[in-house]
Amino acid sequence: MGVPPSILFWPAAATLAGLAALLMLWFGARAAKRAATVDVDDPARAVYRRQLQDLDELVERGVLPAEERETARAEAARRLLAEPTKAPERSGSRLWPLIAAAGAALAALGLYLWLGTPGMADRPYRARIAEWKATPVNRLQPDQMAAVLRELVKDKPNDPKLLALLGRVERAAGDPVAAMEALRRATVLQPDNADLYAALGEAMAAAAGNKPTPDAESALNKALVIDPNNQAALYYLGGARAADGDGVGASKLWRRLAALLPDNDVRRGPLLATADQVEKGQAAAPASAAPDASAVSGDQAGFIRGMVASLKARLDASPNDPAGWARLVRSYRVLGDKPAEAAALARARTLFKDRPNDLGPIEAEAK
Amino acid sequence: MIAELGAFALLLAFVLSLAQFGLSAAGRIRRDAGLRGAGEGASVGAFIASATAFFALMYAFVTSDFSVSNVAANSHSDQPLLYRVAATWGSHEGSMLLWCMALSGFGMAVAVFGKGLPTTLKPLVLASQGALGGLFMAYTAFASNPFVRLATPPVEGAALNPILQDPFMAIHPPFLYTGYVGFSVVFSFAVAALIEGRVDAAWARWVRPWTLAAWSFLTVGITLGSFWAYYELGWGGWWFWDPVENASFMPWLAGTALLHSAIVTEKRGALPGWTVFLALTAFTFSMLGAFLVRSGVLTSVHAFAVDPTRGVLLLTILGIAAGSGFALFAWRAPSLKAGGLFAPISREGALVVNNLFLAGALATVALGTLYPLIRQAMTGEAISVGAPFFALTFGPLMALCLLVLPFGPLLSWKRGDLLGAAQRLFVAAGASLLVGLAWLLVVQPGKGFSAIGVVLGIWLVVGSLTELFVRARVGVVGSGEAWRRLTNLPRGTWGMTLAHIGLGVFVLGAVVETSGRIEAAQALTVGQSLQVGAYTLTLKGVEAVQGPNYTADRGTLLVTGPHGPGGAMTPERRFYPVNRQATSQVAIDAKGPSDLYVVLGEQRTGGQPSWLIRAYWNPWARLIFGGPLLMALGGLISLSDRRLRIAAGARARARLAGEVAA
Repeated sequence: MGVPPSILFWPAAATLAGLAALLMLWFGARAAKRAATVDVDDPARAVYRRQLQDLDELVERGVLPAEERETARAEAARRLLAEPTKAPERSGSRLWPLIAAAGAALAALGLYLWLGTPGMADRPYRARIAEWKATPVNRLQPDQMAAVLRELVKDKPNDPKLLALLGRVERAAGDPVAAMEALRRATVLQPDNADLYAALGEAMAAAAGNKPTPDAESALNKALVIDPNNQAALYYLGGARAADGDGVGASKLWRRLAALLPDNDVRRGPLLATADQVEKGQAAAPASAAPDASAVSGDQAGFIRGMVASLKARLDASPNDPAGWARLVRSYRVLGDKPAEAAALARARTLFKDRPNDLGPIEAEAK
Repeated sequence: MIAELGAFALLLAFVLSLAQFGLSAAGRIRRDAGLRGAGEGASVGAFIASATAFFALMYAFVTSDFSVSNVAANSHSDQPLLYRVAATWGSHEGSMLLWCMALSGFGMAVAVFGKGLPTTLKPLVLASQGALGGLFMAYTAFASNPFVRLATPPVEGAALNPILQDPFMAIHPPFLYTGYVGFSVVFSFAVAALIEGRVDAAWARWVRPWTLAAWSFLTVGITLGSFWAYYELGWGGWWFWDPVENASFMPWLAGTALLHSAIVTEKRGALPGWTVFLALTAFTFSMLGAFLVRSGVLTSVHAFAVDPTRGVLLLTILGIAAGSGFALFAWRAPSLKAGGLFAPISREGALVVNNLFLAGALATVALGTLYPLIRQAMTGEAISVGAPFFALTFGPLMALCLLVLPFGPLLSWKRGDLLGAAQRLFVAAGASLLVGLAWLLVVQPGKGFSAIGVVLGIWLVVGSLTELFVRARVGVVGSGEAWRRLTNLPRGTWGMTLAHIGLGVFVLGAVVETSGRIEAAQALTVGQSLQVGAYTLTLKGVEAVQGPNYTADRGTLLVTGPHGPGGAMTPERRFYPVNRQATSQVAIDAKGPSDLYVVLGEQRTGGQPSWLIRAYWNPWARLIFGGPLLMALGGLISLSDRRLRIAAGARARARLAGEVAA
């Protein structure tokens, strides 16, 4: 397949340094030769001679008054006479330029070995996308998957399934604004899909800092118009009502949702308990029984869980990655996995207890 | 490999700049042509290396190589190609690299094109240029390296600030930096002349093309920046006396003063000390501009000290470079030989007056820009110096400068005839006063300041033309002869006249736009209209459009003017999801020299959807930007004159030789 481009670095660097050295030697030799052979006149004299010529030429063209010409001529002529005629210079040694040329190349090499990253290849975006495309999905992180999907969407801009998947992956990767844009495009292409509207409503609220906005509520309502039993829409709209201070409305929606869950579903109990609380005006926070994952159909949920698991594994292996921990905490929250979220947060707090700047964004994700 | 080659090339350029300094200085001291020539070779090598570094960084931006941390922090794979290219100089590190490339580029230009320079002066110029290059490249390589790599590159970059994603902003910095850094050559010539102890007519002649080139580029750079602010910020204004703007304006004022004083030195050998002082000042203000914009000091005086790699180092470089220059000046200037004498009323006298006003104006702008920073640093109290201060201080100084301007070219060298010049300017004075009176009585009754501005603008334009006509003896000789004289005038004269006319055109635009601007703002629902000046704008609709890396609401407004329907305008409100930032894309409809300018605001919620529309009628706004472009064109025409005259001289010599041979 040919030579890896990073191997070409040394020949390229040597060529550049060699060219610079040659230029120094060539210019040096040329100047030395000239100094030895050409009888150097003081260039100032050339300027004054040219000034005299200019004066004559302007008079010839008829654009200089005669009296001005005479005084200017006298002055330029005086300068010409006053100047020394020669500025002697010896041709000098050729050894010093050679030492300087070699020294410059060596010094640059030394500095580069100290400051540069020898051997590190370029990582152009296209090549990285190609690498990720060739990587099994479960070994990709959410943002890498999102990047791959964005490229796929560029080729198939009107594929609602692809856009929906992109939206959900962007959300898992912690970019609700990008998720919102993708889901919005997906809803335009598939206006009868309640799940898409529910996901869009959730992304809109997340993009606004986890606050219900009129746009978000309108998307969630639209989901319920299409499918009155859409679980994700019921859940998030309940949350929006609770945040608006409408405890009764929130409780009503969550009870409807609880009635749809199987009796043995672990989320039922906490959901009904929260519904009771908000009805009494006690708590506005949604219960831990968030059915977010239920909004994601089987394959996609598995896909996202796979990505989160790989993120967790990566962070366990190399924990010094505050952004990664923030993403992990967020991912667990999106998946509704409270215990895992709390565990990840506790671990991050221990890891970054002395680095408030790094811990800040992670704590913010947990709120 | 390319990114690493860039990193190596930057370090090579740094070492070669030091070699340029050392070899050139040694060549001068030992009068050794070999060393001097090797210094010139090093300057060419330094440019090739820094250009390699610059284009390697550009390649990393174009290919979205986020393993280069500077690319990750300032670009995004969705950015259109133009803005991935422009992001190369959109960041602090990249712009410093551009600065370094320009510095070494000017050094190379002196080495290659300065064949006619004395072998005593040239190595000193190159040594000084090499020292400057060494300082700035050291800063870039060791404290602000754009090639720092990331072992684990992020998936996506953080994207260039959306307000910089604009065609004019993309080309504005290269012009500005070429102008800024062009003054470094003038600085180096000044340092060399001070060391040599010889500032004379020949020196001024050698400096002139560099000054003209730097000044022209800076003029274009500032104009592009101002035009960008005019239509990108969506505030309708074009100059805000913002410290960032003043940072580029101060070297321009110093350069303009230098351009004029250097003429006196070139023609008469007079004012050598002052000309050298201005040459040092122009680049000092360029460096001050870079410090102000690049150190973060403008965001907060205290912020820059926190990050010692930026502000403090830049301030140190400024101190070393300017300090050495001015120390040398203090030491050597008293020994400079004064040139030809001249009477107060003379071309030289007029140019001295011009310099006094420009220096005063420069001091005013510097005070207004730096005082708030110094005060904040000393007392912690933030104050802002705005347009009223500059209107009261800079305004009158420049008004007087403009009033004197047309006299200058009409006065003779050494001893001028003021009465004769005044008589020749009779038409210009009459025309401007007449128009001013009409302005005061009819066009904008009661607006005295705008009438004064209009008088000055017309005075400059007609006064500059007068000089041209006097030289061609229009009205004295026959029209054929006058035409022949006019076409025979040297390009320098045409350049000067064009620059002065450009200034007048700018003054007219600035005054008329500022005093006659009409603003209207209203929330419109579809079908509703808004009146601004003589135009009615009707909102036809607002649609969502998808850009390459943004989504936008695009409004369509139908324009109805005094002559009936006149097409549609489509302002946009763009949202860049990556930056989560909205920008306004102003719609501008040029009506002759004036602009109809419309901004689409946010959608109002509740009830029927409506959008806040702001519309401006900006009379003669185009002249504000056209004037300075004429000035820059004048500068370039003057620049071309020198070459042509050399060629003409050579042809004349050849002809003479032919005649002698015959």
